[in-house]
Amino acid sequence: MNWNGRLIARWALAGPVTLIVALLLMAATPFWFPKGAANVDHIVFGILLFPAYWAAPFFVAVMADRLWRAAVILLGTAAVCALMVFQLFNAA
Amino acid sequence: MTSLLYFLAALAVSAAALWYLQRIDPKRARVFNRGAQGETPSRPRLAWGVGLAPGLILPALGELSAFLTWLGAITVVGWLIALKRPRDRSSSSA
Amino acid sequence: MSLANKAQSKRLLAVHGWSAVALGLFLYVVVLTGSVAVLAHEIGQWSGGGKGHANVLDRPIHDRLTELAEDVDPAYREELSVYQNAAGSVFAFFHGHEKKEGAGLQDKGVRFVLDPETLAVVQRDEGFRSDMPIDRQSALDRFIVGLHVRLHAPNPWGLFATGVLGFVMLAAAISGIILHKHLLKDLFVAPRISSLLLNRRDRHILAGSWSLPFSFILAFTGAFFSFAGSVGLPIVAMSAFGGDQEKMVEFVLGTPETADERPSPVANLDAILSESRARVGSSPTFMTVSHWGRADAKLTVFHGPAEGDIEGSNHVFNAATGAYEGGKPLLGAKPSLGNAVFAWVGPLHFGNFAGLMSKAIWVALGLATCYVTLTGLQLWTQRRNESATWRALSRAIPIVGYGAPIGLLGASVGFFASFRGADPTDWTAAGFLIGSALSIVAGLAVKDRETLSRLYQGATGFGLLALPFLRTLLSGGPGWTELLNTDGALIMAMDLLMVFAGLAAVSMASGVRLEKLAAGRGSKAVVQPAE
Repeated sequence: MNWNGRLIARWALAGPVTLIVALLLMAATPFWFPKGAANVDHIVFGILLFPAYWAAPFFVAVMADRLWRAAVILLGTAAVCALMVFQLFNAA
Repeated sequence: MTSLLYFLAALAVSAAALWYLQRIDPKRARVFNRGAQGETPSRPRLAWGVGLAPGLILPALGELSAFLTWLGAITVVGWLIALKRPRDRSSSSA
Repeated sequence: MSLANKAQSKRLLAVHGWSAVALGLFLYVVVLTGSVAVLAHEIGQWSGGGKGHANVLDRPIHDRLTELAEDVDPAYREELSVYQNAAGSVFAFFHGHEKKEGAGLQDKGVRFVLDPETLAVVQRDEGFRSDMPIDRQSALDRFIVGLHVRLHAPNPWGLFATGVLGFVMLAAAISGIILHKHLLKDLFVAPRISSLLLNRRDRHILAGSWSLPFSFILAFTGAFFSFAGSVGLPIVAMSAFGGDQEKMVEFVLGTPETADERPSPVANLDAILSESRARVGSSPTFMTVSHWGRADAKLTVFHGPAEGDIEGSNHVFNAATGAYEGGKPLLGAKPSLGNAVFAWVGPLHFGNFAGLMSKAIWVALGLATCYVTLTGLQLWTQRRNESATWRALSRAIPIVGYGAPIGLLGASVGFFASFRGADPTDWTAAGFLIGSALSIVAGLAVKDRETLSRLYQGATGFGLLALPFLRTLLSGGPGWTELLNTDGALIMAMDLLMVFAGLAAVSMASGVRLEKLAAGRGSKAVVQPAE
């Protein structure tokens, strides 16, 4: 990929893709996070952690020297989260 | 009231430690061409330990509000201490 | 220690710098108004004349609330909130929950504004909570908070905007940590003065390093507040509750048990409140009654943090029998990690857990972040001083940097000037715009930087000095004789704060600038060009 293409790809990863990953991470939290003593932690932490859910993929996208690695990590995370959300959505 | 006293005591101890650290800081001395600070042996680790001790002691005592106010205050006080230029510089080149 | 290779550092610096260039001035306005908003309660009391600062929940209110309950649609007796705003006005809001077009589930009902002395109804509003007019007494502090929370843009866009700014600040803090390789080593190195550029760089980095922990905390919690209701709630409700936000809220709050709709008179609320006072050892700050007039009515009383604590506490009473049912976490029916963390978010962001001491420190933390933002922008533009575009941005820095506080002064003047007559809500906003506009005009008209800075500092200083007088002369607020005879210590302290800050700004305007001072005393190296 040429320089411009790489730059655009990185922008796409750090921008819209990161945002989608963050939203999916939040949506998926109720399905894996321990429910805790009052049976609310899985809901509460999904929302509490949103800034971290955004920052983590953002810095993965910025820091990755090999862009495809960042792409794999981000898209893989998104896929796993989406599976969690929709699988359990249907089961419920 | 006790929380306020805990906070003030902790801040005083930490500010003193930060002041000392600023005095003995090697890079600060180098940047401002001040060379070694006399003969007294410097104890940066001890000073760091003392300065950060309230961060362990206050929570251990359950003084969470004093801890949090202390934490906020030292970041401002430390900055103000470091901001002040040494007065007796002969040259300012880095 | 190197956390990033050269290419990574370059990218991080690009993120750090370009996000600041694009949004730094907005971030500055949000952080500045946030620092001021730490004192929202004090500003409310000060600007509104401090009328009725005695806590309404410490006085008999049972009879009055019972009368008011008769005056509203029974559907609105689902929930009653009673609270007092910063200016002292008392609110009794009877409401249910209804879907609002385009905004999801919202409180809807009848809100009474009561005179804090007589509890007479001053104002009665009906509708959705978000459509209720702002209490005129509180127009100034609400304006400042609204600017901080959503830049006065309509919801949810304003919240999105400040949330994104929270992300920018978070990214700046994290990239700052990674970029600054000698963070600990340089922690005590005062800004060098061998060149102006180096001096700016050192200033930015030194302040940035020290303020890092709280920049991170304030950005994280701030982004949480912006996005929790506007994004988090609907998304998680969608994934875990099939889109039912009401169900999710009930689930998270731990709203319990079976309904008992049989009518039952409300137990004596004054007796319950006084029992709560005795149990907790402090005055309640907020109360809600659910299912007013039913057998399953509950009264929840909120108390601020006790001495030495960070979090406040909730206490639940059976509002039909008056029996104490125990403490209740904010979230969930019993204590949990989620509740413990959540309960810290507010205090960490607002600094409101240890009275004026913690608030003063939080103001300082906010102002330190303002300093970091502005010096960072100065640094970025000065490095690119050859280009006309960057020179234009560099001119915008003092205009916004001083214009925002001058705008806030304008808002205060607008509030005081309109307090007795017109609508203070509109005039507070107009005052802000006028103050900002004057700053912009001055910034464009006065070419010399030095003169401009002094003009701004002088205007800020004299504005601050004038506020205590405008407060009494224009709005008819209590003067010092009256304050000395009543419990007016806070208002006097606020007056003094304005006077001291004003004197400081005036002395800055008249004094010798730091760079000049350095040039006068320092060596010839001072005038060497940068790098």
